[in-house]
Amino acid sequence: MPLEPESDAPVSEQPSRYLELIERLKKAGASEAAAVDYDKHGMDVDVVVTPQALHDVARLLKSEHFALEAGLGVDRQPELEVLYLFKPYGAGPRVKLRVRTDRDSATLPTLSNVFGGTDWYEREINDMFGITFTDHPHPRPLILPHYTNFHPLRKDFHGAPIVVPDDTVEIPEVDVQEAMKRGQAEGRRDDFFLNLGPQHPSTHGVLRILLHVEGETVLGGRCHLGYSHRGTEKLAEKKQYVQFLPYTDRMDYLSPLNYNWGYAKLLERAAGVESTPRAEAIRLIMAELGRVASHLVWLGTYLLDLGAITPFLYCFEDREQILTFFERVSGQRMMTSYIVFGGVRNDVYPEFVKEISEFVKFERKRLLEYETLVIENEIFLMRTQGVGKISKEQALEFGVGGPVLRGSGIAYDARKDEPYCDLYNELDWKVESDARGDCFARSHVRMNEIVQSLNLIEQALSKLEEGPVRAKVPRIFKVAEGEYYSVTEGPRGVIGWYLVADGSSNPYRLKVRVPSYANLQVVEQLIPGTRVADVISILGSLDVVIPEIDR
Amino acid sequence: MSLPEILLRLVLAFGIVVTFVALNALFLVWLERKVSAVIQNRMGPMEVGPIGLLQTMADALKLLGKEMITPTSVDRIAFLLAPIIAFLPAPLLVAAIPIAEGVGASDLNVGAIYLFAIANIAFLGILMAGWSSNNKYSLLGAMRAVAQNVSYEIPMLLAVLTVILMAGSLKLSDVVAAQSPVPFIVFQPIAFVIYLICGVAESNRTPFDLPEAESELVAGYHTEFTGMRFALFFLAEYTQVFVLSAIITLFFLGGWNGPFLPGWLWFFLKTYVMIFIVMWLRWTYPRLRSDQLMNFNWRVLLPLAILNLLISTVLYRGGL
Repeated sequence: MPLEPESDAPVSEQPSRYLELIERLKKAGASEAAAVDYDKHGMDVDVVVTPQALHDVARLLKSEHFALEAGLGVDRQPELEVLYLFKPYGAGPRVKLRVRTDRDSATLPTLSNVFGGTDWYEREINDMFGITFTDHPHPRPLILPHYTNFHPLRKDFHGAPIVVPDDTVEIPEVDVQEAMKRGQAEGRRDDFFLNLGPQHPSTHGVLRILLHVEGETVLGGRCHLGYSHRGTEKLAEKKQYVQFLPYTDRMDYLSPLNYNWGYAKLLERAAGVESTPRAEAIRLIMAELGRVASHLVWLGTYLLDLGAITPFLYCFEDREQILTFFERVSGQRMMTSYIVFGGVRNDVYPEFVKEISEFVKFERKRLLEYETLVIENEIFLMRTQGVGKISKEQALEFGVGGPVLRGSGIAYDARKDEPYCDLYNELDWKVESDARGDCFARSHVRMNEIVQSLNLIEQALSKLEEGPVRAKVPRIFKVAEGEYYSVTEGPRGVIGWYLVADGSSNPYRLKVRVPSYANLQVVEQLIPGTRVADVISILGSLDVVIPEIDR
Repeated sequence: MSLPEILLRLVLAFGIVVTFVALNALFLVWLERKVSAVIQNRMGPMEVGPIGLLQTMADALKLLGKEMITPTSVDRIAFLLAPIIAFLPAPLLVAAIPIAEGVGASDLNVGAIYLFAIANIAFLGILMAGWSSNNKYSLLGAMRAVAQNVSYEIPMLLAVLTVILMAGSLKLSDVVAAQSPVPFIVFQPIAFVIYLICGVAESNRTPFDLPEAESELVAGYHTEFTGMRFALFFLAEYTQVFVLSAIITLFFLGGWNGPFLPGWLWFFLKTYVMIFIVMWLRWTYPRLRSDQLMNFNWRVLLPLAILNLLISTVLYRGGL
């Protein structure tokens, strides 16, 4: 495995602003910092730091308004490595921060006191690689059960039976215990703990939030995840590149096409393959339809969370039409596996253009109804305005994405800022954002995004020129040794794919940066001081998909 | 009246009232499902009986046959009594409602007071249900229910008081008689709106369905109840809707007064139109939050109701 950061071009040929950043990073204590070819690797700057210098370098990045995008572990054999991915949401380089530890001690300092969003990433790395993060505020397992005695993503792990001990009492939450003690000291006697989930109508999947409440007021809460963990990242290492595609559908059951696209894009970047123009247009139409469908599900379920049942049925009626298109195009309503490496799997059916443009017209009318009947409803405004405010700083610290990020006033959209499809540059559309940061802002952004998606679809339909729908690609192919990253904009935010390739036909390590992960993590910051009903409102406005988080 | 006559009358009245309560609830559940279906572009129940009319009958039979589970950690006595106490007011209320001139189980001379006094027994049942279930969601639901009902009771009674002021009697038939040419809704539109809002809040329906807010509290106070015990809560809720609409009809819409049609038909017509409006509300609006609900009551409804009562008093007793 390459232990040195890859540097493809000499430093002198790199853009000067990165050079300046690299200099500053080195000054802050980075042991190595070099520019990387973005087009090939999807990264701009590669930084190696020692555990001692980690905080200083991270603080520098924070002061430069970098957002935390992801954290992941890689087993470099024999050493273990932790990578933190950063991106200033706007123009600016993608930076990866690498820090190593040896296999036996496997201890690193936590970064969660600089970037709060690393909390969950570090806990997951602890589960998967057995790296202990010192001074971590919540040192308990995130994904795996607490009695798991192995670390599945280490390369020397080849499967082991899970031994469930007789006494499976959970590791108590540290801050829960503290909260109880504090409550007793303050003479508080009305507080109790409320398990919101794992079976609950409004957690949108199997999520459990342990709420500390006093009457109806929420004092705090912690998310418990992992109920639908399927080990997708480990499975990826056992599959050939092309075989992994169907797994990408199953990460997020609301926007499988956006996941297909992201994965296809990653492989295209790694193999240097370009898809055909017709395929690109079809991809865009299908992915935007997927976004519309996903946002419609959000609208319906969010109102269901707020107690209005009727909009849900209307939204599902509309979504049903989209799923019918998916079925006619790909043969599958939800698990499409349609966007593949090099293009799309098959061409669309003859009436596709006509039917889609009719749907776009129909949906525009429906949206007007939703807007006036639902979004402008007084009770809806009361339940969403001023509730669950996410500040810009919080958004960057936790690396939230999609409408949650744009609802906090940061108009970053990977479709515009890092276009992974040329059509996004050519077509006429804009990135919606709203500076208010509350549940209403997020709702507002999503509603407008449906309109923008419809605009995109309508224009892309006219760009649908004749031609092949798939470039010539090898049946079984190998990715050259190296590290690749690609981002696409899903309905919930940036879907990032970090691939470590070792030159074989299987990924060495594939990390999926899922948007809901960051979006849900911020919930723990938002709920103290709110009402139980607000927790539901906030959770709904973040539009999380739990299987996506658990993978 | 001799003793056997009184007894016969009692048994007959009781039988009729309980049958009416049960049948009416079954019909209302069917109606609610149909109304929601129409609002939501669906068909609703269609399989059992003509246009699904017997569907709720089948559901009720199914509920009767279900096992009644008593969780081990509940407070048994309160848990077993709660559904009965919650249901108890339903027949008692229906019994006191006259449906036409001289038709009704009993027309009390303190009818109005009786109705509001008895209606509140149901909340004792709800509180018992929430407390005894030993479930945090149930408890939260019960707390919400009691807080909500106690607060909304006040503007509700103030609104009714204006009507009683105009009628000059607590007897329901007198109240109806006082609206002979013009129903009170014309003179008291504000009281009518206040009463409607409070009534919907009292019957725990959207947008005030906080006690059983499905998306927050799973099923609120009746989470732990199964089978017929659950059905009793259900019966009570729908009877409450009927009583709410009947009271509106009697106090604001002129009761059985109306041209051409017989009185009882007018009464039921007006009542079911009100029931439809209440259902319409439920399938249209989202839910309020508990503190917003309270704020709305104490800051808007209560001052408005007091003001309305004051102005009415001045106008009607001031000789205008």
